Amino acid sequence: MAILDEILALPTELRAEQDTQKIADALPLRITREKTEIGKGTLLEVLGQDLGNLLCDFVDADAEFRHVKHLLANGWLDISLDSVRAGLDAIAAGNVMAGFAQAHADAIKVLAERSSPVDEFEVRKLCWSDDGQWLV
Amino acid sequence: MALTKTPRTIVANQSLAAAAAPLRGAIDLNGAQGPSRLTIKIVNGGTGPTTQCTARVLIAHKTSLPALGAAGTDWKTHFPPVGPGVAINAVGEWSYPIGRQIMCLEVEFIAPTGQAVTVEAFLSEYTSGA
Repeated sequence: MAILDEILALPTELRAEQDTQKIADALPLRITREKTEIGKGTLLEVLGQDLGNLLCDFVDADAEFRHVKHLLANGWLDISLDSVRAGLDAIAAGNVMAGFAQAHADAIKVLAERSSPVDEFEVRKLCWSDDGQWLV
Repeated sequence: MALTKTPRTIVANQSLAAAAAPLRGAIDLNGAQGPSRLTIKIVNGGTGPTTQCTARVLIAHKTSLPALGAAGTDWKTHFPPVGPGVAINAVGEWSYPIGRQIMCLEVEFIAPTGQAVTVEAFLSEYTSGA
C-alpha cells in the first residue's frame, strides 16, 4: 500500500490535526533488508541447539545444498538474499526436516530485517500542496 | 565630522506564504558613505516547508534605484541563494558585508512550498563620517 493510501486510512480526527509528525508516527514501521551473513553459530543461537544441529546437519547432508554448506560453515550465508530466504521457506513448507516450521524460518530471516519509522518529511510532502493546502 | 549610522529596512519581518510570488526589497546606497552590514533571517514554522525558502543578495550598478526584479539586466547576484532547509522550526541567519562601492542593494526571497515561513532583511548603514 502506498504511503498516501495508508495516511488516508488513518482516523479522520488524526488527519484533521494536520500534524505530520503524529501522522508519520501512526504509520506502520518500514521493513528493509540489510546484508547479514550468518554461520552455524547463529543458527544454533536462534533455533536452539537441537533444532540448530538438525538444520546444520540437513544442509551438510543434502546434495541440493552442497555449496550452501560451505557458506554456512564460513559464516558467509547472506540471509538478506531472496534465494536464501526462499530456501528457508521451502524447507519449512516442504516438511523435509522434522521440527523446522515457518516460524523457525522467520526467526532466521528477521535477522536481516531492519525496521524504521516513516520519515516525517515524506509525509509532509504528501499532506501539503505546494501552495500550502492540506490535502488529506 | 560625526559618525552617522542608519538602520535600514529592506524587507520588514513578515510571513511569506507558500508558493507566493518572490518577495523583494531594495535600497539606494548611492548617498551612503559605507561600508554597511546586511543581515537576513528565515524562520520555518512548526511544520516545515516542503521546499525551502531561499534568500539572494543582489546589487545594481545604477546611480538611482532600479525597479525591483530578479537577477538580470539591472540586478546582479552579489551573494548566491541561501536557505534554512525544511526542518521544523529551523532558523537561518546570515550576515553579509556590503562594501562602500555598492550603489544599490536588493534582497530577494523565493517563497517556500507547503508552508509559510517568516523572513526579514535589515541593514546597518554607515551613512557618513569622518
